Amino acid sequence: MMGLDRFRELLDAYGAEPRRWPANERAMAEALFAQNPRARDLRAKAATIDALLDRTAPLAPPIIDAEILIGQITAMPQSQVVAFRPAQRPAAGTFWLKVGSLAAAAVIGFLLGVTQLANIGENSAPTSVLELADISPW
Amino acid sequence: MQDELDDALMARAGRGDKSAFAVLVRRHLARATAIAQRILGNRSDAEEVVQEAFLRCWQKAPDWQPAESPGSAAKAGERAQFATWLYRVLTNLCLDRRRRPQPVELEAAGEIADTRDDGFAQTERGEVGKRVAEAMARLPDRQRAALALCYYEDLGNIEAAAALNISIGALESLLVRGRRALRDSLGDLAIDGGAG
Repeated sequence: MMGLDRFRELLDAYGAEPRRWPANERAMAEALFAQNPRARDLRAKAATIDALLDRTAPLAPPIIDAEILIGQITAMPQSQVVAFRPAQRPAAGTFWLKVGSLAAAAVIGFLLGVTQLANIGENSAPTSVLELADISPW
Repeated sequence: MQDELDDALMARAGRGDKSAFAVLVRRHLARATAIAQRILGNRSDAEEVVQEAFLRCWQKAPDWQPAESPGSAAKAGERAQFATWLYRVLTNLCLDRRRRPQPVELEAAGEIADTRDDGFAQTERGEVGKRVAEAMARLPDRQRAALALCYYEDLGNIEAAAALNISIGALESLLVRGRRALRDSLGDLAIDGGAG
């Protein structure tokens, strides 16, 4: 048999509608409600809050299209493709190819840098001096 | 396939069966969208979160453990494990999104309203509805989520607690505090006969 205290707790949490009460306590709560006038008063008070909650604005109708959503999602890979792909160690040839590429990129970068510095030294400096002279009030 | 249980469909989806996944989406889309909209307060955010949740379903499907598998949390009499998992993912995504800055919180709450109604009575009802929606928007996120799951979407207490990853006692505490806060902020509506 459910006590009035627990009945009050149920109402405070779940409201006045028995369908929202916990399934394992619903029958006991309904029995108490049927027999006890105080329980009926408590339920009536809980119903006023339910009525407020029921007056909330209705939800805007969803515009999401199930079929488009399904199409977009199933076009994506599943985790199995990633998670269960055997991890592949790089072959020895691949490793040295990467090292070689990195070294070549470093050498090319170095040469380009040196060339650019040389150009700056030959061409840019006099021009800059002239330009500065042109705008200088002194 | 329409009558197949969620977990069986999820297992098939895990083997790449797109039609099984489609049944799952059609079955849960409306409720998932409603839950997200109740928690987030606006439709566009809700729909983004729902899409993310279903994407995670699809990606998770190959690793899915059916309810009868060892280690499963599902028990006899509970709703299928899949729905519990889906609503947990969805609720977490909603709460994560709510933790981001909310520059136009109350304005967004107004988006809940379906503006198809007209007439004076409908307008009055709309005003009351907007006040209730605004009061809901002011609730702490987890209280609003608890009410969305239990009150508006009629999830059982076990499933709602699982979605929020809390005990049933903690769920009841959230619900009590949420309803009490709404009663305090909307009490004049009830006195005016709004609760009738």
